[in-house]
Amino acid sequence: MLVLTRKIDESIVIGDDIVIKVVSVEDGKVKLGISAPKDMSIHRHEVYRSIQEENREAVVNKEISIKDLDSILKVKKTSEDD
Amino acid sequence: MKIDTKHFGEIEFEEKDIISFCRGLLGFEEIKRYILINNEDTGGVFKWLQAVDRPDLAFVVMNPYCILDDFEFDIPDGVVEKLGIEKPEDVVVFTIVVVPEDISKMTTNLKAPVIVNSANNKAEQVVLEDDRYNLKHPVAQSLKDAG
Repeated sequence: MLVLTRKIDESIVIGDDIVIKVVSVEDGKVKLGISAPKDMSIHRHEVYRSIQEENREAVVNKEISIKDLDSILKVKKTSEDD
Repeated sequence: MKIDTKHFGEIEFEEKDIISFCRGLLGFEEIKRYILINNEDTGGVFKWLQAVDRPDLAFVVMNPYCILDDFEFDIPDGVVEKLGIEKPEDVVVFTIVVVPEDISKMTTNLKAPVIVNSANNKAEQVVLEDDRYNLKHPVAQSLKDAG
């Protein structure tokens, strides 16, 4: 891993078109400004990872009856009738 | 085209039915072609998202507007461009559902909805920077609340 030291308002360039600038440093928090091509997705790593995990958890690995899922909807309809 | 799926047996579909992800679902980035399988019984709320190239890979997805009619977010410009979205009415949104043993506890991921441009069937899972929506939004509870 490359480790660089930067001050406020200094930047680093990744490739030809990604610029990351240190906007502020306060209370142990670093605020970064990121300029990148629009088609490039940028996420906080922990959010990105949590969505990967959520997707993996969502994989259907057992018999799921859509009728059973449907029954959840029917519960709703019944409670509406009450 | 036909595939022999693990959960649904052999299914037949046409090339034009394939939903193509520019970048696959997070965690499944390399898997880019899926088809949506409808369940007529549920009035279109739940569908199956079946991977075309992985017969064993399927997800349950749902129409989030059935539980949250004011679900709203901006589609990032980059995604609008990537999917070639020209008209708002072409946009279809679905969310991925986790179905645990106790199905009354199923949740759906409102933090990362899947956007489909129905005009060309290109899709992408977007990550919302909006704290109102979370990864594990309870489905059954919301359905009751909505009712």
